[in-house]
Amino acid sequence: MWEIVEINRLQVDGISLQSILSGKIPAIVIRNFYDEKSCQTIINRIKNHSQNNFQNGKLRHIGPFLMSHTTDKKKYFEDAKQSQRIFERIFCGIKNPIIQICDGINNMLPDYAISLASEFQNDYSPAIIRIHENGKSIPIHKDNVRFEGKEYALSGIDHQISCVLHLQESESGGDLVMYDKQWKKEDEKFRNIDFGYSSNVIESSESCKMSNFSAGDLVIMNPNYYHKVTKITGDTTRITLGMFLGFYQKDSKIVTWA
Amino acid sequence: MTDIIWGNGSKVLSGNSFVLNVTHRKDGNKHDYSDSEKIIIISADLPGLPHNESDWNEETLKTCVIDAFLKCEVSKRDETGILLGKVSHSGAGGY
Repeated sequence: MWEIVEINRLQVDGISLQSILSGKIPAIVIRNFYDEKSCQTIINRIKNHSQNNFQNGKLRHIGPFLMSHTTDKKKYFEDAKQSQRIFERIFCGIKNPIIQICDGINNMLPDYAISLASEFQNDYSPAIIRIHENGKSIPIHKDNVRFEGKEYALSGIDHQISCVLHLQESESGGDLVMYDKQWKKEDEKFRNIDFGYSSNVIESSESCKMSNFSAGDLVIMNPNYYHKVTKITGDTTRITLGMFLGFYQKDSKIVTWA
Repeated sequence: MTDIIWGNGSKVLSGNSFVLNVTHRKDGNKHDYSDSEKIIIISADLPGLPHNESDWNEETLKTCVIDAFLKCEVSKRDETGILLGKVSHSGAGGY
């Protein structure tokens, strides 16, 4: 069976990210990774913050996302700079969840140095907060900066891992479904026009559904495996903080970005 | 309104032309398009392709278009049947 591994914060040290990179397991969920009270503080601050439109208004977010700036580095780095100031305000006076995630990863991989990705003195965006409203879903897709981010130095990483911290859950839906199939370039023939892939791409692949997330849960996964988020229902928005980790194995270095 | 087709790049013919295996066509296109169309790029928005056209070459174009999912906004079809259009990447990342 291809099943997620659920642990709590105290069990982080014994976890191997290699099992995610190799696809042996679909993901690790660290329950109560970030405290619920701080999640609520962040949510309250987000509500007071202006939110950008994304994907023709289908999604909203705070902070830029590299994959939507694949040919516009200048704008991405400008927005990334601005986002750092916004995140400083949102996380002011509470434990910064981005730092907490980096610390958690460092506990799993103490031999690696971890830092925010940068290029010619330009910092990448440290994270993205996504706000998904009633009726929204995310179709089958992968995230692979080595393929999609060719214009960025970051595309030279060896491996990519995704970290998603759940800050607020909707009443229902918003489940993460992962498929036991890695993207390969030939799969581009299954692409949908705007975003994502036809379900034909994961035909007969084993899948794993993760639901019942709570505020403070951290999901760590290999985003080159196809995944989707089911339709969100209810009046409460689903809010997550996402960031990627890029591994340079030879240099024992991890860089972060969104 | 401009006709739009989408598909995957296959054979590169020169530093600015390639074959597109057409998988999607915009509803309301004025013209018909076959499942395989030769395209001359008149402008581009493709990751990895230099902004300056004089820097384009076959090798660079191969890395940018082969198998990649592409959008082509058709400007016209020339007298030899080749399409001229703006070629760009299509879609952005998610979860």
